[in-house]
Amino acid sequence: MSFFVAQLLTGLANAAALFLVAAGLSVIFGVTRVVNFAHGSFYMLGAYLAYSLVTRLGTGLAEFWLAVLLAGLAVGVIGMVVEIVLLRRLYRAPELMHLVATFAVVLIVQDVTLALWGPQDLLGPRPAALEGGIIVLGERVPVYDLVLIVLGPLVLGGLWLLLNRSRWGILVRAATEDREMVGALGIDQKWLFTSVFFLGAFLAGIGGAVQLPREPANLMMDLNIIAEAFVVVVIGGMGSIGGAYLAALIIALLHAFGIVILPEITLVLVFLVMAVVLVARPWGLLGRPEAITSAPAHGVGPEARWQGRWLVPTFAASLAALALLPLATDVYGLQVTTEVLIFALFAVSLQFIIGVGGMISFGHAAYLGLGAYGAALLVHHLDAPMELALVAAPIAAGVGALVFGWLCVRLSGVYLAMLTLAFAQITWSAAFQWYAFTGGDNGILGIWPSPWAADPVIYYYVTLLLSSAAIAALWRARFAPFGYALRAARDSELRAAAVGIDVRHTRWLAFALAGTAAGLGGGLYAFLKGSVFPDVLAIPVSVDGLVMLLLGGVNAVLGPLIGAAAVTGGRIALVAETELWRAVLGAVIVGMVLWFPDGIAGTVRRGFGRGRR
Amino acid sequence: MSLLAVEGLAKAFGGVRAVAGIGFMVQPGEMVAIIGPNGAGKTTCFNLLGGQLRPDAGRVTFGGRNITGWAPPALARAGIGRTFQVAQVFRSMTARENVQVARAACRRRLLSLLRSLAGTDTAEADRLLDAVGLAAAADQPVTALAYADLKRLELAVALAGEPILLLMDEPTAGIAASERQALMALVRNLVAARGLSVLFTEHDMDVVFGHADRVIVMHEGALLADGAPERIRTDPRVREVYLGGSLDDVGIAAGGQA
Amino acid sequence: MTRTSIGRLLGGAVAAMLMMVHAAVAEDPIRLGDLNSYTRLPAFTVPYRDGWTLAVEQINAQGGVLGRPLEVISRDDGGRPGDAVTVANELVVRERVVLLFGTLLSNVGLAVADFAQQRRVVFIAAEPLTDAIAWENGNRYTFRLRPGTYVQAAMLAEEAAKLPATRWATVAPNYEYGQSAVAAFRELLSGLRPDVEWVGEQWPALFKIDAGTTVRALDRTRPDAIFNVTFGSDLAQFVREGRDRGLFEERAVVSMLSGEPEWIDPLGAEAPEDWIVTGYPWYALETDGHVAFLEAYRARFDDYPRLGSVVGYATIHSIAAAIEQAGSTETEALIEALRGLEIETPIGPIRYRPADQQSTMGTFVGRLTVQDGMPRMVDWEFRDGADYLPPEEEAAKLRPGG
Repeated sequence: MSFFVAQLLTGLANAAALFLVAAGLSVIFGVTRVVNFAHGSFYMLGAYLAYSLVTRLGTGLAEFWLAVLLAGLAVGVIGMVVEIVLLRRLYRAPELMHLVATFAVVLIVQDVTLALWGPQDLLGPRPAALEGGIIVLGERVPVYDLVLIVLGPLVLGGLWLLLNRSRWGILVRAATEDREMVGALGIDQKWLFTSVFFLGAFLAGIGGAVQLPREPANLMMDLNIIAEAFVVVVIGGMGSIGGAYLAALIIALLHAFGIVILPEITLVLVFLVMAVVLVARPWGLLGRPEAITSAPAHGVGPEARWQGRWLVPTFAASLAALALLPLATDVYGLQVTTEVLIFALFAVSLQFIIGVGGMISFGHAAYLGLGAYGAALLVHHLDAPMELALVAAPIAAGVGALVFGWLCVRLSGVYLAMLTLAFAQITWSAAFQWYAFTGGDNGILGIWPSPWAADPVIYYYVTLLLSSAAIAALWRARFAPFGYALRAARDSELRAAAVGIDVRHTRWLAFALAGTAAGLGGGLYAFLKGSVFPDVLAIPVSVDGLVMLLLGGVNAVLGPLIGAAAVTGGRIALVAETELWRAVLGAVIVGMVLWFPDGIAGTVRRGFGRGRR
Repeated sequence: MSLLAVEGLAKAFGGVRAVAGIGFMVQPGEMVAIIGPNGAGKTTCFNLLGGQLRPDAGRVTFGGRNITGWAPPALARAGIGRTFQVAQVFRSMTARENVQVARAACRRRLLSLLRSLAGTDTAEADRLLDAVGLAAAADQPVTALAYADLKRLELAVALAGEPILLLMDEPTAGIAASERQALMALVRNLVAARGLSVLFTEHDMDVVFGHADRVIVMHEGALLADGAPERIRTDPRVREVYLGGSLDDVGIAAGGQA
Repeated sequence: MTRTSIGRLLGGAVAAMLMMVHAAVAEDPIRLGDLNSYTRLPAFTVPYRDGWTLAVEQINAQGGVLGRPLEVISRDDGGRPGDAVTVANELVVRERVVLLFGTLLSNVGLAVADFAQQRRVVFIAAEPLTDAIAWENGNRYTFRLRPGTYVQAAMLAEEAAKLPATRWATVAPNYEYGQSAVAAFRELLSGLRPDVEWVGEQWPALFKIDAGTTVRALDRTRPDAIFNVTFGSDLAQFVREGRDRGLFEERAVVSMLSGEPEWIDPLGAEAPEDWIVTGYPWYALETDGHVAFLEAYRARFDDYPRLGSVVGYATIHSIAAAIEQAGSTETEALIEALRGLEIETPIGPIRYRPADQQSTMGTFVGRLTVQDGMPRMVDWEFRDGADYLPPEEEAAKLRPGG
């Protein structure tokens, strides 16, 4: 019993920090509809700033709280700057832009933090008054935990008052419920959004700062918290502060008691709960179902037609050039190109879901990974040859996509994106922690091509053949009745259903098709690298896919190919030249988002169109 | 036997009975209008028939089959076409592609992955576009079309599904008064040529009394009157719900608002 | 493309600085390829880089190897095994390095080792701890310098066996390193002390420890002693929460790597006392070899060395000695030379065992304490890796790859 109470108290304390971060994320989403990936960075900056402040101000109790407050305010200002410089110009852009743009902020903040505070973990001193524990029912509970337990409801109450009792709060709530109305009331939406960003970032900063007495400020805080914060926001309901608190409690208690019952699967547990909630109650526990809008996520404009006409000649010319490449480059160049080809397939398959299907997938790495693991496990456990493994890879991923897709296509917009993320994380966790089967973090080694294909030149041709065939098949499907049906469902779900298109079926099939294609890419990737590790399933790979679409152009047919070449090739080149490659990549993305939102292919196309006139 | 038979159809939203047990029929080749003041339940009734909403109670029979609660794609396959109050078309496509994709859906070719849509049913699509007067705009992206043309396009898309019954929710909403009669005359001709039945809601009383074979009047979710236009025009109860004014006056006023 | 030219600009600046290090390059240097997680785990890899930089400078100042200077082409592996393979490929094909060395993360090390076998190029895995790299996934092109998980666990199990404790609990991050460390420690301690009972185990997710609940769950099993494998930010949280909740009172704690400055120094005065740890007491080593290393290192970098610095330094010396002995930079000759190679390192002599191509580098076992606000090891003793590795004939059997 006393253990139960003590564990409950620990859970409540953990919920506080999670709540602060998630509440900020939720407020921002509720009002601006921006899914802020950089929220984890705000949290990390809060911790680092608090460290600097505490070490300068001193470790008295008052100084500590002053440092926490100042850190929160400073992060709030940083959030405002991000909003004004970057996000303000993107509110009308599709959600994909928000995700990618805020991810760029993550990259930049990582390098800036490293430059300012150095690589070592910084354990903040803590006030003497907050050290030690007191005895509750025979168990010692840290004083600081009790402080956090009180802090959570305090902030919740404060936010409630702010949102319900101030004019500003009423505007925020109005904007959460109906964005058009605020515009119609003639309120300066700009500054409302900016102030909301300030509040959200402030909360994240405080969340990071109050973590300092428990956790050293470190460079992994940003990505460690963000996935969990997404989970909390989604479970609680986007835009619902009370929901965020409830969900933070659920997650923290799940950890507190899950660790006793099933210490080995806590990583999976959280995402399983999110998946269950999303399937059963897509708008979260305390959120409101969003009115179905017929506004498509993407591709509002007409698809330029010259693409269709020029597609085949362009593709044929590229293939011819690629076929001759071994004459012009060395083994290394060929292997980099092989990787680009694999990611081109990955990006085209992602575009099939996002661009053509209008479904934002945030976990496409799952299918690349399922393909890679499907092939590798077959080779490792059953000694299968490469040829068989390359057949199995797309099947494994296709089956995975059928299962996940069946649930995903029931949702739309950000909720769908979050469910795909949950599935990707579940797959990742399984690969990472199921040591006996997948080799865990140590991966699966020795997945080299069959002897006849071992020569990098031959393997390059194998990849060129398979990935271009798969890309051509996806394009064919895109311009076949099936692809049009998918686009029809994206353009107007009502109309599509009324002409006899089963929207869910169509999307489900598209999901499976894209997953299968990505799985083929995964199989090819495994044999290219000779090994498979869980990181092929991780969030950064999914984000890479999104960046490729963004850089290339979400709707341009050739966009994913250009994007894959730019991201894969560019990163490899950057890594070889500078250790600041993250900041450079982030800056490039920000530049693209702000000035060339149509991507490289889209911009070229527009230029081409002007040139012809 | 009637083509469409509706019995005791009901739908409530959180205690508000939007449609409260309504029943009527549509005969083959008939053009029937549903009218009523704002909030009478016309659109809800339409969404129940079109499968966008599921009824709480009641029964809908179409061509002898019980289609109560069917989803829109199944209704489309059964032969019910539909247009919306705000024209719904596929905005990323050309006019012809809009019709072609609807044709492909009708002919169950959607799972076809290998043929190209551009080459399928082109002639047929062009005939349908010609029938609604959009032959010249076939290659235009629909974002370049005027709103009245979108309404026509939507009609062509609906016809591409080879419907027996066409549900039209305010077919003339949002287009200039001068174009309304032309559009309805077009519908009228298509009905005659193809042997269709049409069930439509309408605010513009000139349109209603100019084109409907029969008029159904809804009020507060219930059926108030059902009969030939002349009888409805003179029905005192109908006059009463329209604020006691003459229907023609109200019709003009309502038309002006729309 | 814009991105590349920006990259070139920034990269050029960084590269220029790196080049100054090698300014003394004469003609026809011997090119060595290094890769490590410089951006992902800078706290641990930068001291390592400083270590090899110092060694390269010293060797080149004395005329290089075979009359040629050494040149290191260093790359970031991003902490991703897939990227590491690409980088390794670039080093081999484009930069034409004669061998590869480096890596810290076990999975990156394994991926590069596999690549090395495939491409028949020598790879000195400097820092990865996983024993798979020497044993079950070992290959004839890969040599590992640092003592692996098994050796460290064996040293600690020996100390643990001397404790009166019989009820043991373990806490380790839930991934390969944590799992192997616990498995080895349990097996070895149970072998030495059959009366030991394993009463609890906790597997927090790597770098995502839920310290309060983990501590409470451990405490609940009422162990006499705890074996800890957590490190980094997990360790700091575990120590703080454990102390607040009285977990370490009246209990022995045996902890992997926690005496290494890279892991324990961030805890400062809050470092736990009396834990039995493996580590590197650079402040107390008075052998001539180490004093010279320490002075040179401090003079060059104005910082004290971490264990990674010693590893980086010893890696370059291993390579130099191997090339010297082989008389060439041919792969087969290098493998021959490396097998059985003996060199001096700042912490003593080591030998690369021919059977499993693992070096006999040892480490220090001692107790943690805090002096002047910094964690220090006391009562430490150097343990030679050769005494803890399985005998060579047994180790050879662990290598299906030969």
